[in-house]
Amino acid sequence: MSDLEVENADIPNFLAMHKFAASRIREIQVMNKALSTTTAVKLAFQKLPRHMRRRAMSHNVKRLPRRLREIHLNQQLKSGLPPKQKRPSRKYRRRPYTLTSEFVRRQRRVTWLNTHIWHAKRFHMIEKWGYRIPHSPCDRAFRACYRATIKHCLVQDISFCNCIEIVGKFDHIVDCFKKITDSNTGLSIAAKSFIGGLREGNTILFRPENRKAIGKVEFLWKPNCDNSKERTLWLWCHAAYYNELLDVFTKTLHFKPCIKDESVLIDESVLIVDESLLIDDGNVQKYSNNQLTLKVLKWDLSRFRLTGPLSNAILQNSFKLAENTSATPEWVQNYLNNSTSQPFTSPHDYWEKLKFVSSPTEVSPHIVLPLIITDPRYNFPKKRTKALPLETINNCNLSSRVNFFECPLWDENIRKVVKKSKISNAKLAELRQQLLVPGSDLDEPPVKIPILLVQRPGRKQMEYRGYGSGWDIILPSSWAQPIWLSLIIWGGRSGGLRENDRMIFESGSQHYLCPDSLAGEQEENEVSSKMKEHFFRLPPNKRTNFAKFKISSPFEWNWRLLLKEWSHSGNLETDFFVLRDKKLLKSLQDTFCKNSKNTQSLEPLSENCLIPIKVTLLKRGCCKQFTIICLPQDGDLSVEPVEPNCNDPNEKARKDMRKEHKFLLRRLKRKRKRGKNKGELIPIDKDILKNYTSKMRKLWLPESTKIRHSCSREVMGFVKHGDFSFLAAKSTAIGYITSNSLMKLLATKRNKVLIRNTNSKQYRLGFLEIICE
Amino acid sequence: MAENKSKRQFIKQTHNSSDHIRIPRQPKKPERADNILYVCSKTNIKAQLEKCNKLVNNRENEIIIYCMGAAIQRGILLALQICEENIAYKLHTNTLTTELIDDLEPAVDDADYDIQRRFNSALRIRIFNSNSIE
Repeated sequence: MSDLEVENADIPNFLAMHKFAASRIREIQVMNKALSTTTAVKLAFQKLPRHMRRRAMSHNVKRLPRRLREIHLNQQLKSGLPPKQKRPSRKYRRRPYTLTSEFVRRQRRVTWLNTHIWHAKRFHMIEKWGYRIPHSPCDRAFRACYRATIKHCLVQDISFCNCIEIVGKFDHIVDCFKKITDSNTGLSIAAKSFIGGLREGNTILFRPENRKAIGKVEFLWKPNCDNSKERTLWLWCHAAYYNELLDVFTKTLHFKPCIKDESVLIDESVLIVDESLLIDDGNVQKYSNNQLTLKVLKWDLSRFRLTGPLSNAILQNSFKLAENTSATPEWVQNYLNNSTSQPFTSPHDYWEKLKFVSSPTEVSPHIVLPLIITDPRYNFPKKRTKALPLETINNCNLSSRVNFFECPLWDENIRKVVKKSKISNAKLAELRQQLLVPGSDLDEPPVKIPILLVQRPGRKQMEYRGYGSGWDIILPSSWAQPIWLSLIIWGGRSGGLRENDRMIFESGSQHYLCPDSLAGEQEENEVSSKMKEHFFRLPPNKRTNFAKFKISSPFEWNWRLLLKEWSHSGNLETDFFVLRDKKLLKSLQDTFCKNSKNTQSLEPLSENCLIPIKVTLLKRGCCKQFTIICLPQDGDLSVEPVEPNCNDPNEKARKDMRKEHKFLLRRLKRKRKRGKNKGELIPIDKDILKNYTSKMRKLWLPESTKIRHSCSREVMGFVKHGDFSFLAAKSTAIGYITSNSLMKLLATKRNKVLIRNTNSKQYRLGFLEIICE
Repeated sequence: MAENKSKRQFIKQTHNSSDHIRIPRQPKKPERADNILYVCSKTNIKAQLEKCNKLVNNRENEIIIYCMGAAIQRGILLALQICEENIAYKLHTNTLTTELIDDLEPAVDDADYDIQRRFNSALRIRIFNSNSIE
């Protein structure tokens, strides 16, 4: 059509809209479709208008509008990326039902303490003796914990000490214990001071067949109020040797496991989240022989340890005594009525008197106080508060005789009742919510808990007397968590296992795991293997060459070899032991202290015994674990000697071996390469590598054959635990020396020894003391 | 004097008796605060003097020194030294008798725990700032 034609064409006067549109409808449809869908390849979120777009939409589906989410997921799947599932939130993951089952599963292998969750959030936890034990606080409060023991209060959960209950006639129990205790080590279980149940005693148990030590246990008699012939004894045994002790009871003392008793089944319905941390296997372990019954109260009782002068104030503040009202349960009323009617002061009155005591050392040593307290959660302070002792000028009379009445804690049924009566924290919060004035105190708590308090006198020697004194609390384990919280909220500082060891070191007593016991041996092996592992993780140029320092056993306490070398006959067959005879130790101590000349009057010591000693360094230096204790020669007392230089005999062998090994490796590599080229695969011979490492390790740390004459001074013994003692403000060490070396030292009439660290040639002079508790 | 001697002998006797071991309990501390010092014969006197000087520099109005038995002399010396260095401070002393308890721990099975009372003289020295009382 030309332009002319267009001009001439007659244009209609009107346009029929419906016809016009109908003829173009397809065109419009196509255009509409083209407008709504783009030809460009776009992802779902890219199609959104700008104002609806969000950052990182492709990663987080939830930022997309809901209608696009499905499309987005499909697109993601198509592109091969599996849509990432986000980890459920912490809140979701920690919902109670999953939590409980998870906790139960995690406790199958190791036992948890009742305060585990509290500790696990704040402590480095370690696995030891079948328990998960708090080792040290995460806030690295080493000094603070020490300061707490001398000025404030350190709180520790020592529930890994297990309680064993023995029931039977008094004579039978005493006869049984005669087989496994030694009368020379101190007061026996039947001592007059302990029978009444007034005080807690401790004794060392031995294996009956070979008199090998098991460990120290604390024992407590149940007060005999109704003069019955049956007596009950509680033994508190550390977890390290608990299994061994139980073994002794079942195998050599012929205790047989009892058939499960219906009455002792633990009601599982009372388990609340806190308590369900304990796996109750449904029954109490029970053993018996003809005369005695033995019950394991591992799951029933807990024990907390408070150390330091403020421990009394903390207990006074956190525990409110139960009062005799009509609302109190019957067993509490009975107890209160009985205990007040007796001629002497009742435990509750005595506890009231202790309000003015500024330190637990002022209380009678080892005394046991049975108390009934109310729920400690009811008298929490609003904020964490430091409890301080009340001040009085006038002396309160603490010496009045206390009348000791049987604590309800001894009764199994009451323990069960107490466990059931516990209200959960959530319930308590609900009660608080209902208060008219928010933050006001709740009414008198209805729940009563029986507990036992045991005084610990701490260090008994002249210097630093009373260090480590405090109270122990024995409580039903279902109440461990609230009571623990109350101790913390009243200003106690929590400590772990490290603080325990530290306190033993500072107080200058020997560790509870002695080298002659099985548990002690295990501990020693563990420590030495750990040290060796650390040593071989270092590169060779960072390792200490102990041969050059003339240290023959740098990572082992080789007591057996040392004793053998010191024995006169030269061949020692029997097992060694640690001297525990109190009289002998005392006489040894006296001869050292007074520097008396009458060494002949001493009883002859057995050849195969170790003597616990403490060395205080006179001048400089700090001793560590495995430090050797040596016998000084003449002239050493004026000038601290230095070990002369010496060469390492294995150095050349090590170098040659390494060279050879490298050569071998290169050859093997070439061989492998050749094989690969030919198409065959030659595997790496792992035996060669293993052989080489073990041989090399032997060259680095050869097995010690002589210790006594390994260096220029004669070695007497080793240091078990050495460090700078904050209490003495000096370096001190606790260790063991052989009896014969001690005799040699006594003959020289000196009480000074030389000690030398494993990584030093410098000998240091130290003052020797015999440890005698 | 003779009486004193017999007392001492008595203590020694019980100490040496084979049934018991004598362990003295720590004496009670009647007060506890930053400005209260307990002088014993072990703590370095110079350190305690420095502690007192610190308190004085912090404008503490009152320092209380407790001392007992053999340490009384050291306590008096310390108090006098503070007053000598700081003229504004004056002394006020109270003498008192404190009861000391010794625990007799059994060394044999037949013996029971027992206590033994002793008395010792003690001194409470109050050092106060005479200028500040207005």
